[in-house]
Amino acid sequence: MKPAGADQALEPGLTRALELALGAGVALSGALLFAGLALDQLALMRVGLLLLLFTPVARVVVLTVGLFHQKDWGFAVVSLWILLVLLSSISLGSLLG
Amino acid sequence: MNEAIPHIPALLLAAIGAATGLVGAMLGLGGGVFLVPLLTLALGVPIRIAIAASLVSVIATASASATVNLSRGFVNVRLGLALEVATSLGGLAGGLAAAALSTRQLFLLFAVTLGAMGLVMAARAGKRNVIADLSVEPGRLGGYLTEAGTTYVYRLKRMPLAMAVSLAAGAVSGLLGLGGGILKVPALSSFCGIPIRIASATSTFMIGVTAAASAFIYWSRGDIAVPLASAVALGALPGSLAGARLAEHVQARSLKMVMALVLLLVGARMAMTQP
Repeated sequence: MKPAGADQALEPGLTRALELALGAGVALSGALLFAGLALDQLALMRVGLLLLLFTPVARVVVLTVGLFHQKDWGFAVVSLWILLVLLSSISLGSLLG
Repeated sequence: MNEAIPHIPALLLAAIGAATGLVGAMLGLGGGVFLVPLLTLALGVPIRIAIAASLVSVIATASASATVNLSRGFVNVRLGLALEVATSLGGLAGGLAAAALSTRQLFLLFAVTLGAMGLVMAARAGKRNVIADLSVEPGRLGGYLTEAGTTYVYRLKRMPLAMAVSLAAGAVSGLLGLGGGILKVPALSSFCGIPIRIASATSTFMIGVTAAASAFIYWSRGDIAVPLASAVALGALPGSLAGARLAEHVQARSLKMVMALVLLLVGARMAMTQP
């Protein structure tokens, strides 16, 4: 519960979308990691771990899109910058690999 | 990798992940400061493998506890975003600083910082950051906190200090493989006017991203030992969900005292380590 005029708060829909993105990533990767360990299947664990690594990326994508949608330009640009840093580290990683 | 990874039962690894996730989520840390020493010193896992597994577990802890903290309204997303800019720059600066300082000097610097923060935190544990007068403007990076049915206002103070600490946290994260929450939470709470619940929830929201940036590089270098990292992360998921829910029922003062104790213990251990 927030007092009226709490413009610091995100729109409830955006908060909900962030929760969903994180929750889905966590639930799916958790299920895959569990199945992989129980059945001793490396491939399942591998997919589970990659899904987990991409969960924060999905969260940043949702936040960036949401902030642009809210027309919160300043913070939307900040969020986009963070997304770019993340993507550059992923591409740097694949260059090294 | 040619370093041998000792065989450790998956259940033991999951239990370790659950315990570090629980404490980490309560205090707003990823748990890397506990995991890396546990895996290397107690179980003989090579340091790079331990750091890589710890980064994966930090992501699990951060993502799982953020789902709880978001729905409670404890995450200050805009503050997190502003500080994340400094953290991402710190990650770059860390690479440069690594050339200038030896690991030993870095560990000592880190130990002294943690020790000093621990003492300040303990000394100020009784001081609240919340303002009961709801007509006070929280400002662009402040906000509201509802605790036990009462709503309070909080304001961000000393923004440059908050940015500097986040920069340092980013640098440390790149150098020592930590999430950096252990620097951010005490600084935000003791010096910057942010209530400890908001500071730790905002920290967990951020450190998943910080850890992911490094984790992808470890992944492609093949440093992530798949079964080991899977077991630790799987344990960390329920552990951190429980930790985030538990934190709600613990008084802010107690959270600060536990955090102060953790800072002093980790600081002492780092001062004694001979890397």
